[in-house]
Amino acid sequence: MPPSDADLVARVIADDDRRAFAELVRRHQSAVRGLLRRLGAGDAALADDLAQETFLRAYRGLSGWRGSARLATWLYRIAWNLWASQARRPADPEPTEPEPPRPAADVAIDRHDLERALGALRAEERTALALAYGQDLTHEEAARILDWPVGTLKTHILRGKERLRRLLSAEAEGTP
Amino acid sequence: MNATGPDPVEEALMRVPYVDDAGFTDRVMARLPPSRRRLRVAILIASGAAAAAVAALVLPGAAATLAAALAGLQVATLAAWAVPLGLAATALLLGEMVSVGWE
Repeated sequence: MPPSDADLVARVIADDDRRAFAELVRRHQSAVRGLLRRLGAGDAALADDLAQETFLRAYRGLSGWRGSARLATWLYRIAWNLWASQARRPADPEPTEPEPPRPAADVAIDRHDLERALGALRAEERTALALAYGQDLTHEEAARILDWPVGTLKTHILRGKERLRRLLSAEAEGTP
Repeated sequence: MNATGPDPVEEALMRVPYVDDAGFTDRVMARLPPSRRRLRVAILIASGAAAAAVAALVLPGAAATLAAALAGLQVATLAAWAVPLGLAATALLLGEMVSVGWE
């Protein structure tokens, strides 16, 4: 049976066990990089830079992980803080508002279309959707990571999904 | 998490593709600060060498014997000192490396 995250963390803290830390990185790299790619609307290079910094900060602050939350949740919080810090530098452009009908229900959405549409959302909406979907987090966990009230998170999720529907259906209509 | 039935947007949002490691872990490990284990080994070796030097100077007769042996180039005397000292130093070094878990 593979060691738990808590066992690996204990080995890193007690003995600076680099193999244990490498195993933690391997386990969580996809989730952290996936989240950052969503937040960055598909910018893989930026996401990977921030993901590296996330794990370096995690290494330095590993003794601060209490074990009450899942390690993944703690890593997401570091990743989100890094993302928010760098996103504050340039202003987030106001998204355009196409006027659109609802999308056809039977059309599967391409990943690149989704990333493009996510990029057109407001930062709060994109963040809420990135954390609430596909990361195995409850709304309460996602809200804690963001330091938002749960109600605020849910509002941004609803608005984000509605705007995504409009953007994707407008895009589908524009496709020959 | 989804209160309503699945729709294309929600389904797409739920599909987060696996990101292949592709050297990512190695890049993170390369950026970590120097290992505390290696630092501890370096400190132990340095302190061991310093202690041996102090002992050679302080212990009565040790420095004089060594100096006399060197001055006279008495190979047999030097060898008599060098072999047990070398063995002791090697044993000490190996013990230190094992105790700190040399990578």
